[in-house]
Amino acid sequence: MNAVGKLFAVSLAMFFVFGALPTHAVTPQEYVGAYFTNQQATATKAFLENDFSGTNPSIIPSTSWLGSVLSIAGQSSSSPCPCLYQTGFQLYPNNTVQATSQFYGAQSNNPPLGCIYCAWIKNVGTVSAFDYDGEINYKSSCSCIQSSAYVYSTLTQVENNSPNIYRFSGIYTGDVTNPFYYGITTNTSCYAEPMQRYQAGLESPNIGSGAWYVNQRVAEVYASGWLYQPANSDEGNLSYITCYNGQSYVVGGAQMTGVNVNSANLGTDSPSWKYTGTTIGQDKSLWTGSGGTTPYPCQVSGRC
Amino acid sequence: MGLRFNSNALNDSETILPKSREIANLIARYSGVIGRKVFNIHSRLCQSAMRLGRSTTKLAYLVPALALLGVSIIGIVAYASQVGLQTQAADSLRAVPLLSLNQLNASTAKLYGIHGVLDVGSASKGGQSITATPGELISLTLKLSYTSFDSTFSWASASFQPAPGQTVAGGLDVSAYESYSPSTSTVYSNQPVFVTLTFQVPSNANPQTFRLLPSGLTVSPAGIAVVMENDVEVVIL
Repeated sequence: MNAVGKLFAVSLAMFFVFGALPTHAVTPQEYVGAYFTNQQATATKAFLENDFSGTNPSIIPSTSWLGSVLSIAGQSSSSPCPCLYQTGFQLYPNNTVQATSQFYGAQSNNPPLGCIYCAWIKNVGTVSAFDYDGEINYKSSCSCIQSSAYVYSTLTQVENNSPNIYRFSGIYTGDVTNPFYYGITTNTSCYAEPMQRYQAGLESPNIGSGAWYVNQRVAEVYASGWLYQPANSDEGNLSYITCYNGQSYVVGGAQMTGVNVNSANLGTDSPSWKYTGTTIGQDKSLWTGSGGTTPYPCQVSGRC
Repeated sequence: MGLRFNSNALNDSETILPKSREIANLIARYSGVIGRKVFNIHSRLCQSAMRLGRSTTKLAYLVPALALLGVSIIGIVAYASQVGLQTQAADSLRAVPLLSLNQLNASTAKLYGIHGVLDVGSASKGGQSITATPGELISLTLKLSYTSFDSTFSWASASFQPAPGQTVAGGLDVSAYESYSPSTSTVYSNQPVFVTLTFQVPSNANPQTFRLLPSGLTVSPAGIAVVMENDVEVVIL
């Protein structure tokens, strides 16, 4: 066999060995959020109120969606945690909203941090709903993490505080009675990367460039009472939230370009986002005060 | 090889006029000359084609070989970068993107560590409105279907545990009036299971409307995704 033939044969062999290898990583998605800047502390609950009424769903690219999501890190170092807990709502171009809860932890024979529990509820409402509230809660009665979605679709529901409640429970070993972190820390095996433990943000595979805004309110955690802390902005490529086996993890994965705060609605514990064409960037101050208020669904005894 | 013309054949014919013979001789003479020239050109062309053919043969192997080599290099680099990401020191970065239902398929399930999907829908009255009166017993049939993405996860366990405060409508904690039969089910791939959700409307319930959804669902083992298809609107008269 001459040189050309040999080259051909070798190339053919290499093609079949390496050319068709699948990639292993998930596809990063655009993300912008708010994180508390206090020194890391622990909590038993987390909450976020979401409002899509400022968004015309038709501006969302046809194959995409716009999500408003609460993310919080779990603190246990026992298998399968430290975990990452997310609950949120996904708005689609056809004006339907899905509620979702996604808990990530270590699994054998899986990506280092895989989905222990992922749930979706179809058609919980449209952009006309008053509020979509997400809560993540540790329930000592079952030693489990519970995710709840409270949907106020009508004025009557708001006036009576009678939302549609969608609730899932995941039973996991390893989480202690104060299972969540909030605030920031650099004291992890992921070197100096600051872990931003509680995040309230927006996420999308591709948000396009249409005019829209999403208001988020009552970005809070529960630690001897409902509270919020000063907050900064977070972009998806730097939104570190947990460290597992020496590997750091970010929410989303990519910067949400062209999105800034919605100044008209930004307030303490109320991050609000708007497509303006300018990108807010990382670590910009959103509010400096601290305080707390009981989230509206939780004002009914025994509900949260 | 060459063109040969037997001019003697003309001389053998007594019927050819002398002028025609002269013309024929001229034609034969120049035909030969032209023929030789054509032959020479043809010969040169053949030689050129042979040389080109040998080069073309090389090209026939070389071009695809280079293409395959290029693809292989790209594949090696991509693979190495993935391996590099996985084995890099502690400051390497991984993303946890929020997954949407329309992104969930066998491929993405693998990336996210999802082994199967349990679908919970209403086999009866799903997405509809039910009218009931105080004291009435409402019964719905739920359909549980399991799709496996991993042959080692051939089943899912579903347990319904109504919790207080599940749905509160005008002070009515509906979860206290729900029951499920069976409360726990094992669902195998492509073998749906039916569960009866029973709701006893309290005799002192006020007129109100609320949504009844299978509640307090716990699914095992870990790595099983859940999709709730729809809920039911209940109107108490």
